Formats: sequence, structure tokens, C-alpha cells
Amino acid sequence: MIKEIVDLSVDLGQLRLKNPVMPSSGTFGYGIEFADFLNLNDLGAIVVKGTTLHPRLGNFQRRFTEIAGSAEISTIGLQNVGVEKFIRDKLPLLQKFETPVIVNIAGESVEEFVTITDALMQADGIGGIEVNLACPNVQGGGLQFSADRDATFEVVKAVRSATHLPIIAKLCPTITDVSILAKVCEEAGADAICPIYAVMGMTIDIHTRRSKLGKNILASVGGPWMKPIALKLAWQAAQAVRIPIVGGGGITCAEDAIEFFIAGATAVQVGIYNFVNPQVMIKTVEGIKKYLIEHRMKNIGDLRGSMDLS
Amino acid sequence: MIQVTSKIVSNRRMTANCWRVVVDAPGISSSVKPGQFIHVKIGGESGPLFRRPFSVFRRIPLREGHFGIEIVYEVIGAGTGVMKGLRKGDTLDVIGPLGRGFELDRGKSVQVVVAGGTGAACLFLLSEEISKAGLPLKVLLGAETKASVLLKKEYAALKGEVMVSTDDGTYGFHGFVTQMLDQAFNEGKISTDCVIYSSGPEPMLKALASVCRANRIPAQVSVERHMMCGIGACLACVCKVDPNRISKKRDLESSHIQSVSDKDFGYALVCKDGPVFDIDEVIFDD
Repeated sequence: MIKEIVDLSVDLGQLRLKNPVMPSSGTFGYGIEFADFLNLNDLGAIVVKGTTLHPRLGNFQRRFTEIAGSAEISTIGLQNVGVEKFIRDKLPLLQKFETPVIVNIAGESVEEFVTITDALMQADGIGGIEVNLACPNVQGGGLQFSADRDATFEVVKAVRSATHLPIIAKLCPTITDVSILAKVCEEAGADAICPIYAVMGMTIDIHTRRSKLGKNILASVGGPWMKPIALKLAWQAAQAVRIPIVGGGGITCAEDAIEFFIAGATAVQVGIYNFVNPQVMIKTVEGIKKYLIEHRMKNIGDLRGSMDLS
Repeated sequence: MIQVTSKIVSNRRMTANCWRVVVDAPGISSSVKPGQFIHVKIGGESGPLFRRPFSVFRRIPLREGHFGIEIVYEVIGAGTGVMKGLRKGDTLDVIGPLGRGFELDRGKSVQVVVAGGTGAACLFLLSEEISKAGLPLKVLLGAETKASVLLKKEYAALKGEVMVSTDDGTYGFHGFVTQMLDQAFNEGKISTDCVIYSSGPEPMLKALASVCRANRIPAQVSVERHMMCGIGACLACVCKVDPNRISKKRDLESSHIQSVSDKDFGYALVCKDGPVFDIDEVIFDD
């Protein structure tokens, strides 16, 4: 009954999602892993693992640790099967579901982003492409692409030329202002901006004076602690551009997601909490519906950017 | 695999630092196989962020036709620290049963179970199965000291011989459990026409690998890792494996083992491809 009362559908460019909730790449595997716990058809989109041109084995042990109950620091190192095997082995499993598949792509150079996009364009059943701008720009000195506005522009522009599919530009704005990067991505032809990846950090065992992550030193820090920072970035990005913002960072429940919509996000990504509760996204969708009904809103769009600044 | 909210039936201290908890999880107890594990969110939202993996010690009758599952845990961090404070009636959010467990190898003349520390819990369901099948069973339990020997009484109730080693010599054989095993082979107390099932700290498994290699004995070992998701999605719990020695019994279609042409090792996921591996598959240097 509730379904008929509120409309949760949103558009990212030409891609219509039945609801605004999707996983953050890397926190939902290839989606199939979660099929015992939720109906994948109930999600707005499925964003798959970061996909590289060639298969990657990823980093050594140890790959993650928990910090103070609300944070995790992890360094998987983009272990993935590579674009070819993704199309051959994983994509057909996802095509059984009606939910759009968004492929997160990770290149080491502008050319590599284009090559991966070209490969994906040969496949059927891909709803959109998320450009991972937190990748190190190997040819450009190893800084993340999104540390540099020109590199950001070049990647998004090049992927835009290679595909008609909707593009989400996923940033890690720890160096360059998110407003600037969001504008650059909009200008380069992105359909949506996702303003934050987990930020980089490190952790030390004071007894051994070694990294708590073994041979790995730098790693991504994520978890509930980052929500206020992520919310600020979603807010700033929404102020800066006209294209939709896909918010996210630290979401654990519907209430967290609703904050992002009020701040101006069109859709949200749920991250590592998928590992804690595999049903979190379904519960988030249900909670958003309930909130809209309670607040007499018929459309998720009524909530978007509705922050009271008085 | 299912996700259930399970009530705690009992939660008792066993040794200075080890506890045993029984939870009412019928959907899991009815399907769990030896060597499989459960992934537990402890303390709800106020507890630690991630779930914690525990191997299932045994199924335990709660009432007519209804079994709970018992796990044995050592209090070592934030998760188990909260767990030991939970009481009868408190709940745990449990996912399970998970992972690839042990596979009984009936072709050998002796079934040998080698446990280090809390590894004893992981091997009990299997030992029960061996005992019920009437196969010759030897159980080797290793502990640091007499007071930390785990589950000796439970193993002694099975049809088989139990041998105990302590690192400090306060009980049984003086030394590591793998040294006791090696000596048993050398003295002919255990036939080398055997199969070994093992669980314990990684240095112990590494030592076991050399005993097995020297005596050409097949072994299945349960590997332990910290885990985020437990269901094959996060890729955090990898174990280094030798791509040329992957068990022929594995279904490669469903396997998560990955290797690349320019590296002489691959990565398996402990939560899906394990936690039980053939000892030859594992590279113990990570």
C-alpha cells in the first residue's frame, strides 16, 4: 500500500531509479553475495566493486581494522576480477534483476578510464558508470585524480566522449574544494556527483610501532564517524551545481540518509554498514517511505534541499 | 545462510580467559556443518562496529527436537569484551552458517584431530561425526598451561583417544601439540596412514604443514582471519594460496580464489573458500 502513496523514484541523468538508495562501490561486492539477505530488485541501483582494466590481487594482509567502535580503516587495494571477467562472469548474474547496474571504474590514466569504458560499452545491461576519481593518477605523479581539477576534468570529459550512459563522478575532495571539483565535473559532462570516498588515513600499533595493517601503511578510513563531514560535502556540492548529488558517507539507517536529502542530495550510497547489517539498505528505503508519509510528502523530491535556513 | 536475532541461553566462564555461550538459533543449528562459522553482531548499536566470526563448537539440545548452538570464545578485544558481559535472555544478531567446513576423509586408517587453544572448539562437531561413524580417532589438544586446556572432558566422552600437550609441561606432553604429533608418528603411536584435521594459531598450522610434508599426510586446516562482511563481498579476509596446489575437490565456478599471471601466489577468501583449506593450498608467510 505504501508504495502507492509515496514516490521514491529519482533520476540521475537519463537513468531512472525506483528509489534513491544504492550501495557504495566496494561495500556490496558484485551484489550477488547479498542475495540471501535482501531482494536486489528492491534497491535503487547496484554499484559494483571498483573495476580495473586488468584483474588485481589487491594488498597484503592485513586489510582492515576497526577503530573506536565507529570507524574502520581498510586497504583492500582494489582487488577485482578485471573488466573482461566482470562482463563475462558477473554481469550475467546481475542481469536477472531489474535493478540498474552501475559499474565503478578505476583507471591509472585517462586512457585507461576510456579503455575500460569502451569495454563496458560492448556489454549489455549496464545502467551507468561511476568514475572513481580517488584513484592515483600514475602517469600524473601518483596524486589522486580528484586532487587536481584539470586531471578531474580530463577524466570525466574523456569518459563522457566514450559513453552515452549516465556518469557519476565520485570524488575524494580532501585537497581541492568540493565546489570547484563538482563544477568541473558538471562542465565535463557528468550526470551526477558523488562527493566523497572514504578519506585516507593510517593507524599504528604503539607496542610494535608497526602499522596495524601489516605491510600496508596508508588506508581508507570509513564508517559512521564520517557522516558530518560527508554531509557538509554533499551540501556544498549541491550548492555548487545543478546536476544531482549522490550523497553518502557513514550512513547506517534511514535517518542518516534523510539528512543527506535535506542537505540537497538526490540519492544516497550506503557504505560499510552493508558489512554490518546486510539488510541495511532495505531498512533505509522503508524508513525513508515512513518518514515521507509521516511528514505528508508524496515525493522524495519534496524533501530534497529542504533544509530550513531561517 | 540466514540472519537471525538469537537469544542467549547461557554464557559461562570456562577458564581464566575463555567462555562458552549457548544461543537459540534453530535455523542455523539445523544446517551447520563441522568447521563452519557464524558471524555475530555483539551488543547491538552500542557494541563494536563490525560482526565477529566464531566457529560453532557444537549443537546442544535445548528442548524436545530443538537445538541451540554453542560457541567457545577467548576474551581478547572489544567484541569478546562485551560478549562476556551478556546474560541469559540478551540477544545476538547472528548470520550463518557460513563458509566451507571439513570434509570427512574415510579412506585412511586413523582420523587425527590436532587443536591448539580455542581451535579445540572448531573441531568438535567433526570429531563427534568421526566418533559416531565408528572411525578410529585420535585427538591432540594443545594449550599453554594446565589451566587453559579446553574441552578435554567433552572430547574424552567421544570414542577415541585424547592426548594433551602444554607449552610449559604442567600437564601431559611438555611442548607444542605439533611436537607431540611428530613424536607420536616417530614412536609409531599414530599411524602415518592417517588424515589430519586442525585448527589453531597460524604458527602452529605452519609447523603442522612441515610435519605433514615430511610424512606425506593430507591435512585440512581451519584458517582464522579478522572479517568485515563474512559473506564474500569485502575481500578483507584473504589467505595466500598456491595457485598450482588448489584442491581438485573445489568447485572452481563458485570459488573466489584469484590469481594473476605475474605473481606466484593467489588470494582465497577465508569466509567463502575457507575457513577450511587443504594444508597444501595455503602459503603460511603472510
